[in-house]
Amino acid sequence: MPLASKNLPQSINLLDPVLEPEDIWTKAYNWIVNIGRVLLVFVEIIVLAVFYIRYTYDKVKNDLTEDINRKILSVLSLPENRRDERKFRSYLNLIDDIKLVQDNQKLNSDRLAIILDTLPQEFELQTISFVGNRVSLSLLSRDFDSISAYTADLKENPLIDENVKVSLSKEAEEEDFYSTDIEFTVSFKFITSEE
Amino acid sequence: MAKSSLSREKALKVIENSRQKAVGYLVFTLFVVSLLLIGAIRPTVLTVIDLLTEIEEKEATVEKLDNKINALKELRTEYNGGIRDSIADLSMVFPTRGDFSLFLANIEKIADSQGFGLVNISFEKYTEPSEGEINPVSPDVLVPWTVIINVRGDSANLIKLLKSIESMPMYPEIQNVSFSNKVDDQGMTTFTVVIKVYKIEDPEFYEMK
Repeated sequence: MPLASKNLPQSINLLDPVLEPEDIWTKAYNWIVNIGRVLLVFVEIIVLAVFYIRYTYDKVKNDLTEDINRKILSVLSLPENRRDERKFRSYLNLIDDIKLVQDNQKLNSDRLAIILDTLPQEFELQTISFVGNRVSLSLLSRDFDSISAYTADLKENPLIDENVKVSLSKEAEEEDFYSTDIEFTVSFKFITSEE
Repeated sequence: MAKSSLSREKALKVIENSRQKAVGYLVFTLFVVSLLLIGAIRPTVLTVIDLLTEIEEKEATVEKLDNKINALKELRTEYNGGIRDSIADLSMVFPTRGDFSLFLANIEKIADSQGFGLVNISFEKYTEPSEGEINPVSPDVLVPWTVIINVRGDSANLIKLLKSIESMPMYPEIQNVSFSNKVDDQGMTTFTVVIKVYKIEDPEFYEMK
């Protein structure tokens, strides 16, 4: 402790020790020499370790960046590869679409067969439309009783949703319905396996 | 006696002084350690963590690129090994132009085979139905198109005709069937059948360069 010892009075009496002066600079000097140096060494070790780790990781990172750039520039950016990629992507989309269309194809001929089988003889079917699972029939009949009987049959059919809608055309409502054909439409929904 | 008491006081003062000094050192040391932790070690640790995250991302990118390159190689091999011909066939089934040559070529034969005569055929843009449930199918490449055919034949064979149409390779869907009220001398009826088929909008889809 050269700095501190210069100002201290000399004494060899152990029972009358010379007290250290309460000088802040001396305390700071003592702290730096005793503890600060240990901390400094500790920090230096950490800094060196981090420097080494960073150096290693930076090298790994640069290698990876080079690898990515090389793959993009020398392989994927080639016009031939870009064209093939676009082409194959389009074809894969087309194949997916075909599968989608195939899976969702509604075989309405089977439904038409069911409808024609259950259609009363006295009815005349004019048009049948399919929208998804919903079916709309445009029919002619000679009396109202058969219409209500047909509607009741449809409601009891297990393949058909019980919400069957019937609407008469305006002309049919106004005319004498015993002497002319009654034009009406029936719409209902087929129950699918998902429902 | 008085001298001894004085020495004792001095000794106690020395001990007290040392204790205060030790506490002061400890507090100051903790303060400096905290400063180092916050100011020096924390940023370096964060930098290392950032580096590790970047490396992880780059490794994932490299892996994706490798997968893409391998997939491209495999697809090219498959394409040259026979898929090219299948794709060429698909251009007949799902054409890019609205002529539907395969459909036209087959529909007349199908109608003939079921005892029907093809009276008329027309193509038009498909319009979504305004009422009822909307069809859940929404493909990316394929777009729906409408074919309207007028056929004349025995109504007893109608279902067979529709089934044959539905079994065509373009997965047609019967949308609407209209029945003519009139039955001619030969017992034949005319039907109008509206069918949904699919085509590809991009005219250069199969000839990508």
